[in-house]
Amino acid sequence: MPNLTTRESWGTRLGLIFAVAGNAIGLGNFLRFPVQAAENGGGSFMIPYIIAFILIGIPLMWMEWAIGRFGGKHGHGSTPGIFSKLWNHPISKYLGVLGLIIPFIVLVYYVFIESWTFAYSIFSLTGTFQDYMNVHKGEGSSELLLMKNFLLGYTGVESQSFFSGLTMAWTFLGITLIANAWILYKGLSGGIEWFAKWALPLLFFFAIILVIRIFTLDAIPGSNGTVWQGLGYIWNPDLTRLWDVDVWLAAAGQIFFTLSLGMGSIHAYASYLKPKDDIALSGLATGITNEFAEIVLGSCIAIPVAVLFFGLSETITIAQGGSFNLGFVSMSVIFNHIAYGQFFGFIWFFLLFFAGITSSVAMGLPIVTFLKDEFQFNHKKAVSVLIGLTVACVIPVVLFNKFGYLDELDFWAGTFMLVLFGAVETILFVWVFGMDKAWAEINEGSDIKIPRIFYFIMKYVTPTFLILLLGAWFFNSAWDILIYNKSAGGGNVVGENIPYITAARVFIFGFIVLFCSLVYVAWKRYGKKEVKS
Amino acid sequence: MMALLTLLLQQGAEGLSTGGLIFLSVCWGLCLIVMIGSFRRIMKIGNKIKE
Repeated sequence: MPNLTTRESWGTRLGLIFAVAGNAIGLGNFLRFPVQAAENGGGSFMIPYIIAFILIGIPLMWMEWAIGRFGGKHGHGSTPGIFSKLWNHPISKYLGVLGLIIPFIVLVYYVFIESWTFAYSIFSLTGTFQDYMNVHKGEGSSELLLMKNFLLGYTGVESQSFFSGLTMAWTFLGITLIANAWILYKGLSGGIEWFAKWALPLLFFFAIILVIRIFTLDAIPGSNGTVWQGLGYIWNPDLTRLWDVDVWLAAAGQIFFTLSLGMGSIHAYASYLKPKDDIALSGLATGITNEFAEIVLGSCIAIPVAVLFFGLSETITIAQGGSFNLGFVSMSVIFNHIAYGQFFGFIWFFLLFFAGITSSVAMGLPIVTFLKDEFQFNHKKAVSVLIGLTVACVIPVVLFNKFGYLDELDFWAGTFMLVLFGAVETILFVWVFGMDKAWAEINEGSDIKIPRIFYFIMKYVTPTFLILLLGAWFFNSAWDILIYNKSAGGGNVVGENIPYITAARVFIFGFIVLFCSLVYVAWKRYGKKEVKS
Repeated sequence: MMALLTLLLQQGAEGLSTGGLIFLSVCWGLCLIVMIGSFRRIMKIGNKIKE
């Protein structure tokens, strides 16, 4: 039975806001956003992006804060318990299982990518990229191709003598896991809040240093691009793309990823608030801080500097190759060519590492909270279980990365299920729990007056938008991926990858069954105690 | 930020179209105003978690 008296709480309001903003500001702000904007018509992507921010992002942010704080009042910080209080129906707690498995599965592959950023920051400082190029420069390949091979070698997709297997990848992954575990062990106020309070300002400081460096770089001999062209590539409106459904899907999807909505993490964070704490102003502050990191800083780094070095057409090709191609491959080449590049390269990759770690600790919190609230685990025991599970589950991610295992997990847990969970929680909160009660819950203790129009947006527009998004996504991509017509990472499915893709699906399904069973056991115990009392 | 916006207005014309420049300035400006406004208000009300 949840114990209300022993629940932790946040130390300060700014600490809470930094922690939630740190959860939202992740690799997506600096890697995914510029690629998505550039691929989807630049300025014409930004129009649906801003509309989606107002119609989905901000309303859902407020709803998740409110749902979390509501759960905290009843001693539940994870969505199975919270949903059971929102809707008094036996199935509600099982719907909440989504809020446990999504953050956990994303965490499992996210820490692996996060460890690449840490490794790359050290490689930059120690000049490893240059050493690699010196070893391979006689092969006649371009620097971009060499750095692409470097990434493939490091991550184990290709075997290369330079890396002696996956030893280096395992080492950096181990350090990343230890860093995550340490922050989580320290608890809410002493770990997550403390870390966010210095990591987030440092992240902004690093990003501003990089923006200044990039916008003061001289023209590169042989390249006809400028940083302004890069900025224009993201921001110049191409209104012909405005009526393209795919652009709207990409924009709405980006809003979900960037704000970490539909994950269960915001619920867990907000559950540690006091019943009368403001959520309206805090929610707005975290959402807009994330947007500052994304549309101001995120649009001023990777694409502009890539256009300066490689020219516009080459940058388009790089961006079409995906976020890793832009963020890891091309940026490593660029930093090899600028003065003090080792230092600036370190800043770039360490910035990504900070962005990643503030998000990954948030992804771990729902399971920790679930074990503490529903099974009365103490904090250290709950964190140990989470870390043990993560270590066990990240092994296949590393070993089977080259077979599309990570891409499959990313598509289902990190893309499709986010929107599914967002739609479920919206319907539950505004239609089942009731919009009047939901509106009162959001406004309780509020330090700002939320415009009344959001009452109607939350009740009608947000759920409709989410259902349309879910339907369009399912028929546009999910169905083809489900029946093995298309690979989750793009392109056709390779025959030898099918067992690994299937294994990824079995893994997701297995975790759904496991957590449904845990919820069943917890409520069986909880029910008995309630009858006795 | 203001220095960057000024620099944008001076030099951005070579890569940014007029529409792009206006759009970027409006988005960045609104983002900054809301962010600074939110944090000013929080600091004014108080940084403490309510009891």
